[in-house]
Amino acid sequence: MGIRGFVLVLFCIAFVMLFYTDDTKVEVIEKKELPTVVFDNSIMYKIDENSVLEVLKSSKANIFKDKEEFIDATIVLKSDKDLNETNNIAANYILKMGDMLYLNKNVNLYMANGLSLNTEELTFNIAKKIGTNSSAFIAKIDNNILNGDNLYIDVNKRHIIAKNSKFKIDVRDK
Amino acid sequence: MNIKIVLSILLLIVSLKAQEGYLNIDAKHFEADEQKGFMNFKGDVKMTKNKDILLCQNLVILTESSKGKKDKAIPKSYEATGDVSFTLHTKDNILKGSGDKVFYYPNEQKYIIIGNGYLEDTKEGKKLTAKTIYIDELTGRTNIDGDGDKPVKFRLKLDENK
Repeated sequence: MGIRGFVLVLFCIAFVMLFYTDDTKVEVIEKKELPTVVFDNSIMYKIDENSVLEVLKSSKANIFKDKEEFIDATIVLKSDKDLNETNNIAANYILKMGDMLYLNKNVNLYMANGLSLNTEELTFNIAKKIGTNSSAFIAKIDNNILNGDNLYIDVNKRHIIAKNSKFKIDVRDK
Repeated sequence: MNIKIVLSILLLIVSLKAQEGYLNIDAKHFEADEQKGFMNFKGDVKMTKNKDILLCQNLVILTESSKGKKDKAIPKSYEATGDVSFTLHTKDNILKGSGDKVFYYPNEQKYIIIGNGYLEDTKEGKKLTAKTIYIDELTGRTNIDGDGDKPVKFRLKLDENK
């Protein structure tokens, strides 16, 4: 009788388990890539045989295998045309992948050819000097001021495309 | 207290003076290429300078190098198309106009209205319609071209008291 009861209980448990589904979520832990090198309050220089090509100052720099991440960073690039002039790029966060820069928060660009830009996010190709964004921006082109969003800017060709633009052109000095 | 009022008035005058040298253009889409020397504004274009205003759907500004600063581009000509209308304040008059196409040459201070041209002299109450209207801001002269099908119309407001 005891064995029969035990078998019956086992059978009942097996029957219940057959229809029981476990709703508990399985957490997938993403393996976060860790930087190979970390610098605090650093200044990095890129140099060739003749001069300093690039200076990168940041409060924190995380160097990964195929990308670099900078916090509160300023990049000073030597101008292609005038050796004494520089192009300055600054942002609260900069992700650098090859020639591409992904800039976020308080993005400021000061170019040697009279172009400057202030926005909250920007993708910028250092080699081609072409930038794009989708948020609002204020650009200063010589004494002219352009407000808008969805910017495309080719710094070398001074070719600019924008949406919802408000352009203030200085026509004082002829 | 009085000093504050005087300073506020001075600040207002300075800011108004500063605005005088600027041309404001609002549009849905903007493109500029300094190497090719053009600026293009598309969609609900509103151009203002002081009290002057121009509304259109497409505005092309051709630029040239400034005589003072060679690396600075300044407007050479304006071409407005699509529902063009404008209000222009001259020295002692206010002109209102519209047309299919309006050209403005700032160096010569000349306007050309092409296609369904309409011009109204609000001070003297003169209204004219023509195929092409030429306005010379410097001399104050207006030339008109009609065409075979649509002759020039000229309306003059008569002073009834005279």
